[in-house]
Amino acid sequence: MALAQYEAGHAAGGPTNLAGKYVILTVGPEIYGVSVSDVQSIIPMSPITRVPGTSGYVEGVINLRGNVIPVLDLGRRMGQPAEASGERGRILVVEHERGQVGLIVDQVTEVRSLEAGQIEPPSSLVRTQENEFVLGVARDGDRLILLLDVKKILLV
Amino acid sequence: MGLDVTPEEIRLFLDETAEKLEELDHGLLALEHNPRDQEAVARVFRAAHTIKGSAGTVGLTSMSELCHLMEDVFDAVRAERIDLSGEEITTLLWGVDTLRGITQVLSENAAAGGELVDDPAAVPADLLAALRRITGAASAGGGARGSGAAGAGQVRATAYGSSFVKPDDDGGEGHENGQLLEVEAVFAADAVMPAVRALQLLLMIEGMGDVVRSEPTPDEIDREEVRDRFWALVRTSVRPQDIEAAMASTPEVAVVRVRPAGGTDGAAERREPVSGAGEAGSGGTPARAGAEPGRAAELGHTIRVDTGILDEIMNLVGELVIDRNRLGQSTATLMQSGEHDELAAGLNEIVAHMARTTQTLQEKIMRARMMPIDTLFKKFPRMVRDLAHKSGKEVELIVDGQDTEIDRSVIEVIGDPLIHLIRNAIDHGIEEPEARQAAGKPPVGRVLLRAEHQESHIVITVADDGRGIDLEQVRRSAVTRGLISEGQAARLGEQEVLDLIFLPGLSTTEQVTEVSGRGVGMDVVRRNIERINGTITVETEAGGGTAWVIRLPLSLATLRGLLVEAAGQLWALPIATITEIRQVSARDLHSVMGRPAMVVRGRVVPVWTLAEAMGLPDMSNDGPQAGGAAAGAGAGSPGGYIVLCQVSNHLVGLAVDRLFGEQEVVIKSLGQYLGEIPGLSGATILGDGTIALIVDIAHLAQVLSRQAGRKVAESVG
Repeated sequence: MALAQYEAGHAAGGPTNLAGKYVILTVGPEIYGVSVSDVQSIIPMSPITRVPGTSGYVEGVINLRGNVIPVLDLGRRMGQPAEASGERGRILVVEHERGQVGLIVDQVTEVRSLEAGQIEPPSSLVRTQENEFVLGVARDGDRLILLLDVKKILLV
Repeated sequence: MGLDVTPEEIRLFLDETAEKLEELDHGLLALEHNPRDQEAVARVFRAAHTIKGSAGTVGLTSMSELCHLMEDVFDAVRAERIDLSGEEITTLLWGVDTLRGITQVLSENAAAGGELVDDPAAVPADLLAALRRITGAASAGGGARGSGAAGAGQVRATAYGSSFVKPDDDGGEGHENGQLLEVEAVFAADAVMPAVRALQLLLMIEGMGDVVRSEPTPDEIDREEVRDRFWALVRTSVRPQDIEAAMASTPEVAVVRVRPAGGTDGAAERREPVSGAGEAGSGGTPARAGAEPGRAAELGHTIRVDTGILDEIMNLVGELVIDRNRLGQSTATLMQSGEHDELAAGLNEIVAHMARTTQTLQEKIMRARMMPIDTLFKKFPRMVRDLAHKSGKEVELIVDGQDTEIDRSVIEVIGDPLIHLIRNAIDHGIEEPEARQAAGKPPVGRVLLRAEHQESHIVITVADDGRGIDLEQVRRSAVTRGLISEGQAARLGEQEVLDLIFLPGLSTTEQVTEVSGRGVGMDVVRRNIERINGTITVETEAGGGTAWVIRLPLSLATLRGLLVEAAGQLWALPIATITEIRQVSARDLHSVMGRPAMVVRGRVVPVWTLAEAMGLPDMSNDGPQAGGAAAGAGAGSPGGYIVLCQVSNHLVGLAVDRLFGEQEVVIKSLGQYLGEIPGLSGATILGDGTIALIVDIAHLAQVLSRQAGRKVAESVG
């Protein structure tokens, strides 16, 4: 479903097809939204075993129900400066074509339905480093939610 | 009479044909060695005959025709009308290769969901002509081939005890004066293609006489209404023993009986042989049938299993082991808490039993996945023959320990490295016959391929008695390619020079020969072996020969590891590479060229903290520290240990903070997202759920040792 949205979004050139349900989460000062169809599960923070020889944003691996899966620091992946990281309380487990991957976030606040009318294309509102990972920006009340392109984030 | 062949039947046909082709290879090589080897002749005849029959049944006429011509040659050999020359063997091997090529194409088509299609163009006319010439030369001197009447032209009985008849050639003529026989065949209990087999038998019998009646009838066979047996009444002048032998060579046939029927046509009831019937003498030979039930019993004890299923079962067992460990952990915690004593005791008993059961399960599954290494080794005699011929050398391949059992996954990985080593041995090791004789050696070079068990490892040796590795040339090559300096090269000991061979980009052959191609490089060979926690070393003697020794763990799924703590987390070090563990204090460490080192039996051994070796910032309880200084401080801290690891000639020390004992761990991949990480062979989940990374010591020891060596060499100039 997310793939269809992604392709549709890009084909149409606009974020109108991004409407749907999103898991809203915070990392540092930013608020992100990940489509529910991308998320397999949300688990509490877990002890991480560091793995040498990996990119800076790869924190290591965790034991997820008997499977060894890698976890990434989403803040670092999004280009946030290191000092900005918050309490890192949750891990979002997403499915990757090469297996499961965990994304470390601060908090998961809610699941929310976002409508086409709230969503705009990414623009100067978004920092340039993040731009490639953002599909669109949703205005929800007085906050801005950056809608994430999980496939791109997981690209090695 | 065509049959719709299912994909399952296609696969079975292809598998069977592949097996028969291997038998043909073996038999032909045996015949080359000894042209009068009757057992080998019988084998190759049977193999060609079987492929001919199966191929014909599924409509692959060209394949069947080729087999028929080969069969003719074998028949002539068996009748001692001809002794095969080396050139004729080569022609026959050409036939085998052609059949193999056809099977390959059919395999690919089948995998893509296609059907079996006959391709006459795949069989070269030259090949057919060459085969005919061989047989023509044979029959020019010998008698006419057997037809109808028994005796005249019938091939002589051989030591094997019966003669083979080519049913097709005896097609239906001159049988009016033959006897009426009842033939019966019972299919094996696990036969997959009874209809096809029934058809094969029917065609075969039709070729040997006049079939009066058969059950199932041709129409029933066409409709695949075939049960577990085939029966026919046939008038024939072919000897019953010959019919029995031919029927018995059909796959999936367990029991064969041929006996005289009643004196009158068609009057005999199927199940009741008329006793005291007219025909005497050469009646059916029930003794033959007696031999068959043994085969049936044998057939019933094994089945074919998709290896994918075994792999899945292996994974599931791995999961069970992890859960068993976790359960054990929880139970231990419960017992320690002092509450629910009875419950805890009960649980403990269950866990203990579970542990025993999963242990046995693991062993049985591993046993099921083991295959004799012969499945790999048997490819080599043919390869050696071809290579030797191409390079104009004479080579004898000695194979030892082919029954040694080894895990299937290990076999898959070790194949290419072995091919590479054997090619090198023939191409670069063994000298031309004249050169060998000049050196006082026998003209025929020898290559040894041996497999044996040693403790919990498999040791495979590839050795030759050729010219050995020219250490000087290796030194020069390394310098020329800029891998080391002249000064360094001069100071290297023999073992270190041999080690250079494994560096990427180093090849001592100036020319690229057609046979071994662009040296794929010993670095790739070693990498592949290390990837499965194995090691490879080499010994050589100038003018005497070279020996490559590969050591592999028995299983890729688990390994015995030493659990240690370093850099604030747990690691598993494969026991196989650990020689010693020492508790050290700062006193025992000296600084050599800026790196801590210790003296072990007169050798200076460089020491790294595991954190440093792995490239992790040291996050142990002492807090983060930087590189070299940490080695000195951390390694010398009270309670610290140094684990000495040896791989070939490299000895390094790894400093760790705590030891947790030895354990059998299940190797889990780090996953495709992370990919291959140098220095790590995977991860394991311990009983309490923590992850320990498995260190690839073989790789690490060599990298670190070389680094240290280079520093020493560099500093001296």
